[in-house]
Amino acid sequence: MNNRTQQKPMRSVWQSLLWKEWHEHKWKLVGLIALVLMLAVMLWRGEPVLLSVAVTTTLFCYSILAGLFLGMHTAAGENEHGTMQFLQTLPVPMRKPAGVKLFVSWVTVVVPVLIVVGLAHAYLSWHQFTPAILANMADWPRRIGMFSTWGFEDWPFGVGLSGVLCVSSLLLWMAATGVNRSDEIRAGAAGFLTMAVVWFGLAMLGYWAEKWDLPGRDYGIVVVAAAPGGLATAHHYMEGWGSALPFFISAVVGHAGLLAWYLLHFGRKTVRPARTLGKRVKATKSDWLAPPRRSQLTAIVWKQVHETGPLALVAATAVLVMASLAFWLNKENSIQNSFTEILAGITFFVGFLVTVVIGQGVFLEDLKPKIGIFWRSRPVNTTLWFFVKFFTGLTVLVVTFGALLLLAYVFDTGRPYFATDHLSMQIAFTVLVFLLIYTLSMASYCLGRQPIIAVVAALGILFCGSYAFGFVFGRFDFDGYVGFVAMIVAQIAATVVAWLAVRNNWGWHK
Amino acid sequence: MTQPAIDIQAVHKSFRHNEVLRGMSLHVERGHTFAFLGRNGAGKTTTIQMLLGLLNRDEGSIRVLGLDPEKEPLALRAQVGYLAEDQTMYGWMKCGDILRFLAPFYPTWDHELALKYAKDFEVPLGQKIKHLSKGQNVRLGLVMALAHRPELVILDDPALGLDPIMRKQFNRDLITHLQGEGRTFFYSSHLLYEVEPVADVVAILKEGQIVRQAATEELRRDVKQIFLPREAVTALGKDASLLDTRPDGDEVAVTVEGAEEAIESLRRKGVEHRVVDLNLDEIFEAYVTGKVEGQETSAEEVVLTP
Repeated sequence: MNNRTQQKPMRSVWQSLLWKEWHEHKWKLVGLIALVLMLAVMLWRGEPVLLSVAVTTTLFCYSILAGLFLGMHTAAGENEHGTMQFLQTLPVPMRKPAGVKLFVSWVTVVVPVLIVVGLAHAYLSWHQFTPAILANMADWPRRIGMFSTWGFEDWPFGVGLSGVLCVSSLLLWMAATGVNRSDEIRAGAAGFLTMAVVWFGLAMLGYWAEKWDLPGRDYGIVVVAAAPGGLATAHHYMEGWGSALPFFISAVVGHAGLLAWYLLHFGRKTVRPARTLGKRVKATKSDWLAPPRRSQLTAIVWKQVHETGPLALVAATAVLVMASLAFWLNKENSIQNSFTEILAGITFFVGFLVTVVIGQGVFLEDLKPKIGIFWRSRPVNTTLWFFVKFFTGLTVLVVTFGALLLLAYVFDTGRPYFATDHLSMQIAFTVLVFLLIYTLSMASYCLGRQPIIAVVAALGILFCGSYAFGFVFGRFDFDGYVGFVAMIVAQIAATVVAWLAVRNNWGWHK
Repeated sequence: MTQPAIDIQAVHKSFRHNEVLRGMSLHVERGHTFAFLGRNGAGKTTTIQMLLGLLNRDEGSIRVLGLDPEKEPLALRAQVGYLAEDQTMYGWMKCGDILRFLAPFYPTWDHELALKYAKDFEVPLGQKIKHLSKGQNVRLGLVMALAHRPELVILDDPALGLDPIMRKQFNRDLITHLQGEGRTFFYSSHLLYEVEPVADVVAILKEGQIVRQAATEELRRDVKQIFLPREAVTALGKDASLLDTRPDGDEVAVTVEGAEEAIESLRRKGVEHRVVDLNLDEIFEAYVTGKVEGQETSAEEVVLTP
């Protein structure tokens, strides 16, 4: 008997499920820890006064990214890897694998927060700063307005609590609203749109309640605690209340509802695989075949536009709706009433997330093993295939978001913002950053073949690269020609890596 | 002189410490339907991926239609039609879309022929691929493998997962539409009854090597099961190669390669015996799972205990 056959079976269903999920999450945990530490170190730069800024900003950014991306995996990871049908055949209620998956995902996103908090706490204990410096540090999170310290004297614990609440809420929202989608990207799109709609719905409700002085408007604000971000985003409103209890109740009820939704729906629906026996062909049977595509180039462009276009279109629509709503809600506000600035701001924010997702999506389907065999076994020039897809995806991205920015420009041509000499530099810089994010995201997916790991890797490389740049050149801003050259070099390197990975079929998780 | 469709010489292929192919050699003449048989995991798909230039060999040489797949993969793939086992395609495309999409990649693509095959095989052109049944999916794959009039068609367990009626229909389509056109078919399978009606030549792959390659009829003539008394096994002669021995009451059932010589030897020595013809399934089984007591393969070395 060999060692394998001598191994004892797992003692319980829970142990088996935990073992499975741990194996699926362990490298994500390592990646997230590395990412959060890199970001914190980059922002901190060893300056004691910057510690609280670094920890707060890091945990804020981390909570949003980790919550969204791990939520995508929790919602649709099993469908993405074609293992849902296997899970469905196990003689256990689906809420068990669903619950264990969510629990391990939650541990995975929370542990990096605790590590950052623990290290910050250890650093403060080690250096014994004066009370004045400590008070200044503790005040920073309030001043930058991202996370509350919840009145903790030991501010890292307070900020950490905010981080845990925020990442837990976003994870649950994403998992519940993206559950049973056929892949992680679709789950992410569904979850993100739902959350955006919820937030803007709440904003509109608040606006109307205030405008028409609706009864109970002061109490309605407690609903914010149940929205994406949970108590971490509701802390602004809690300060004006005597008791935090209504907010806690709202948060618990809202998130318990999401948890129940997720547990009751996970795996209860059969997501259509690539082929199903379900549909009758009679209705769509056709004897007509349109002429072939004119060239390999047009065929690949057509395919890529079909793959990237819908997501870009949805994102553009969402940006326009969000910007219009925000403009309408703020039109009487003297400070934030510029449609240009609102549209540009939302375009950049949504653009960042969409760029990450579109970058991954360029080769998402092509690098799945069976699809890979399908196109690689044809007389396809891999280099042509790669670069046409790369530039088509990029073009869709640039056209979509460029059109939005152009729209902003058309609405507001007379403003001095657009008349500055600095504008061309800013546009070039922004385009380069987005191009780099797109390419890094694509290259990470081509090598990692796993969306979540690829996102973590892409952002990690971005932060690490920025830090390395700062370390070498003694500056952390990319303005100026050195920064431009560094970004172009990084861009070329990422493109070459992605091209080699596609051409030679290199990749982890193949 | 016309080059063979496929010529594989002493090819080795390992994945880390797992040696999949161990000096495999194979020769496929043009115009033949070649059945490439082996159990699951025997190395059939690895061989096919090397034929298409999707995997590189460690040692040995491969020529397909006179080309080296590692050096000229695109030129080769343009002349080869390939249908993978459980072929997965872009689910969001309609059947008509994928035919239009593939057309520019093949210089010899015949769109009229694609439409003809699509009609003959009842492929619903307006249907999305993700909504096709397994049978429709295989038939669409076959249209894509044939519409550029390839010289060589490689089928890797194409009927895997189809029900028996679908499999029969698939083979009928193959015979009706393809074999008359003088193309070479390289048909990999582990379902013998599936390839038996269509194969001209059979090769059996076991543990990374071809253990037998012969014309189908020759194989049937050459491999037979003989029932004879236990003590008379040595009378089969030294030229008889034993593939399988199985006790059967007072007798033993011996499956031999070189049946004609073995039977002649038994006649000469006056040994009473019965001969049973085998179908391809049984021949395949004897080659890949046959056991000879004492692991000796020559009749003269075998000592059977009662």
